[in-house]
Amino acid sequence: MNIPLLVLSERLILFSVLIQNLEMIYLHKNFSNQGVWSWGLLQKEYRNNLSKKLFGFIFSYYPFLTLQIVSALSCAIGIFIPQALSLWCATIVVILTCLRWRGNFNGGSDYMTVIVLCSLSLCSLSTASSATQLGILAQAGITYVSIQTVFSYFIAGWVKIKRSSWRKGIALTQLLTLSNYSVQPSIQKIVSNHKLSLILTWSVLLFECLFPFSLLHPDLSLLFISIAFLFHLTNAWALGLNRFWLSWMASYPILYFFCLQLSSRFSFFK
Amino acid sequence: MNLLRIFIPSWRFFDELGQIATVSHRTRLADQSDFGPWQTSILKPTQSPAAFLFNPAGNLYLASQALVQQLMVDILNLKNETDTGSLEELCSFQLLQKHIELQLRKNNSLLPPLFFQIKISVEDPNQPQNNYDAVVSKEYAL
Repeated sequence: MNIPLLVLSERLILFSVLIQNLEMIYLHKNFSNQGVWSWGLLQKEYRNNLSKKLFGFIFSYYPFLTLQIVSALSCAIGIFIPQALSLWCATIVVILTCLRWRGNFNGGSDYMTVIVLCSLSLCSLSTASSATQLGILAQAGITYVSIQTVFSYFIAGWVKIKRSSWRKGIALTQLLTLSNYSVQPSIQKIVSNHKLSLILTWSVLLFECLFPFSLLHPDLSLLFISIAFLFHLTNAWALGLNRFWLSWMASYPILYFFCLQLSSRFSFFK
Repeated sequence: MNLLRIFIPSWRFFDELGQIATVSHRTRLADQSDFGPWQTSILKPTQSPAAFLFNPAGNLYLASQALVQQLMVDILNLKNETDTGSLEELCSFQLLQKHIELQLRKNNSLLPPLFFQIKISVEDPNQPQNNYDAVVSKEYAL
């Protein structure tokens, strides 16, 4: 795979996985035999003896810690020398990590990380150096990431706009002041002003609901991607959701690439 | 099916903010009959300036909150009898119990024998009259 935008996406997702691996290594005591998330407790979820033995071999403390270290090293190499092995290694380790933590470690960002990794792994099977040479699997992967990226904003916006608490600007204040999220005090102060909260809410709702327009033209795509980047960066700073901006950032070059493909194939997109 | 959760994306971020489940615990010494006050069990970590890039404590906190949400779903399944067994048999409850046990041990290195109890409260900021305790566990020896 020699397409610059896809290589950029590969580097970004490997950087995201590297951070995830380093965080997991830092938290290793929590999944040790004495920790909360010990395999001794988690294995009760596996009722089938075969899967219990198989996963027990991978998910117990030392093998799981080793996996994280190997993946971190592989990602670090892959960032500088992009190659399929790093992508496949990261894909397998991220899926195993999600399975071990019962899909609970970081919800939405885990989904996006897995989607981008699986799609790029499929792309890595292709030796294409231009959009027209892509195989069907690689094209399917690119299309899937792009559609899921658009859905991730549109569905999030649509479900909010249907609720009166969001339309009135109350929900954002509640989310940032009363919820279980660890929110910066300065942000809490800003949203306690109703007018500001209403403006911020409608900015987010409009941005999320209009995101599908990013597919209409490469320039629109770049505009929406820039806003999305700032949106995630603000969330990372305000709510500590670092994994979201890292994994979503990796999907943007693919989305832009897909938009360029659309624009070159269909004249009405030009 | 629970294990396949990761392959089914859900992009419904923050659509429902109605109810918030919080976990608290209280303790009593083995030779006392009364429990102390309820204390918050999952504490919000303080955010470092680097948290926008590297945030292990914050992500562990989010994982703990996701665990509480999962526990609420598991409890609902128990009540609807779609699942059999008791609260104590639930993997999510055992994880939460272990979390509190470790926290108690960490905070008190020279711990005398004590008992603790766990409570899960559901709070609705819009309608405080609807607040209720979903679970008040039995006593567990530490």
